[in-house]
Amino acid sequence: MKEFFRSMAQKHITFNSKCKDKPKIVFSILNRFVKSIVEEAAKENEIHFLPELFDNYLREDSDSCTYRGMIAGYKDYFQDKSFFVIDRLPRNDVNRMAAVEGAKQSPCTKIVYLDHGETGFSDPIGQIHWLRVADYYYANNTETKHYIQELAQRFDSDVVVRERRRTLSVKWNRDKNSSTILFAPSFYNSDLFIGQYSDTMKYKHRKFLVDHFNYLSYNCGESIVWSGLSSSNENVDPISIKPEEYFFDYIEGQFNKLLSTCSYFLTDAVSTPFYDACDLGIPALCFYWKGSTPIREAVRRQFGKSIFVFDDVQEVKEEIGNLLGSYDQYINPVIHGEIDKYPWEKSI
Amino acid sequence: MKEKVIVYLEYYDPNDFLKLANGNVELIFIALTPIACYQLDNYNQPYKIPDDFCSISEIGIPKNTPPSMFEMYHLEEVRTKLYWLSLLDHVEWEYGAVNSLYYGGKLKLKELV
Repeated sequence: MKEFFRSMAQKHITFNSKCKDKPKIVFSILNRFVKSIVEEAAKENEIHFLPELFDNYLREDSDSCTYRGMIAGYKDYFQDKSFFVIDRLPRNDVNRMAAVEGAKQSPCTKIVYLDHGETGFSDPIGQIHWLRVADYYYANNTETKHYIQELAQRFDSDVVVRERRRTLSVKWNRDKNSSTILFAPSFYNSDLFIGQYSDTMKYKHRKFLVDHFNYLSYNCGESIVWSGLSSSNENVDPISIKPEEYFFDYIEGQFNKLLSTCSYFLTDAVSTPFYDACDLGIPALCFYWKGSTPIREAVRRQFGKSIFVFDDVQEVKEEIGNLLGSYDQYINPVIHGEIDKYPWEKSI
Repeated sequence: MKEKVIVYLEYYDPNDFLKLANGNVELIFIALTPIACYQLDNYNQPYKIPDDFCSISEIGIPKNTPPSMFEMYHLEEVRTKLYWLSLLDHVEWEYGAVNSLYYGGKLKLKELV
């Protein structure tokens, strides 16, 4: 339902459309992450949201005449647009894929990519596409900015790399009367192809965590919440099948609320929620399996004890104990350098 | 001597194996999804996962960087499929970069059988 209202709003909202000669900026989607950027940009620019020019039926055949036709359609759409701002490219969204290619071919359009998520991976597979197509790449922190600059050099890309501060959806308002440990698991690969490791191995690790959380809750009286994946269902994530049998709480779809009130944050991937927790100043621990996609050394240095690489999942028990015993060693705000302006903003 | 049959599972229903589960056949289950693990656990059925043979990071990705997002997703899917199916004979690495560990995985499987 939320998606329906968003798509209806996007179809009908255009800011400043009657003001001639203002630069036209197209945003890929209207969501809470870009809302403040849209509001600010609307003061001096004409704002559009990307229309879906075609049925989203194409999936496999990137070389077909149809897909080339879609790219041509978007190239035509972008001919009088100055910027195309995009923060993610869902894997089944053929319209957006064609729009990116169309904008790339449009001579007067600059593509502005706002890095949406974080992985910390040393494997650049997620960034290579944007190094090729984007004119501006906005990283969310200084370490990532330097990494992208290095990649741009390595892959001979002209992209302009800049830094921004990602919008946080909540403030940390820790419940002082309780002490809750929040565990936010990463997605399975069947949901999202983002590297990491096999779903079956991940499940094996999670079975262990369920047992350990049961122990901590029942025997040690710890308050633990497992934040269920938004895409959870029994076919994807068996952890969601019988949550009533756990001694800890299993809650789906309330991540931001849970994050804002927890006392400790646990996760199994260097992910956007991990950066969110660190940004908020929450004591955070990411236990990361050694066999996963390797994490950049600079990321590991920056987060110190908050990134714990394990070989055997049993090692995680002790590290969780360390977090609870000396939480102040696990507070690592994300480091920002100078925040850059967006290319449509006037420099002072 | 019992005949050994390797069964790759995305979803486990014991009824599917009633005919095979007689005295002459030993079933070796390899779970390919979390739900298959869960179901096999529930039936106390021993099983293995692909990581017992070789890991996705060992398989690696080819060095020739794919030029488009389409191909990137495709590559990821191929990589994942190859991972799941890395023990099957008919799998071919579409980018021509078959990793020796792929064969290593099969060798380990042979030891099992």
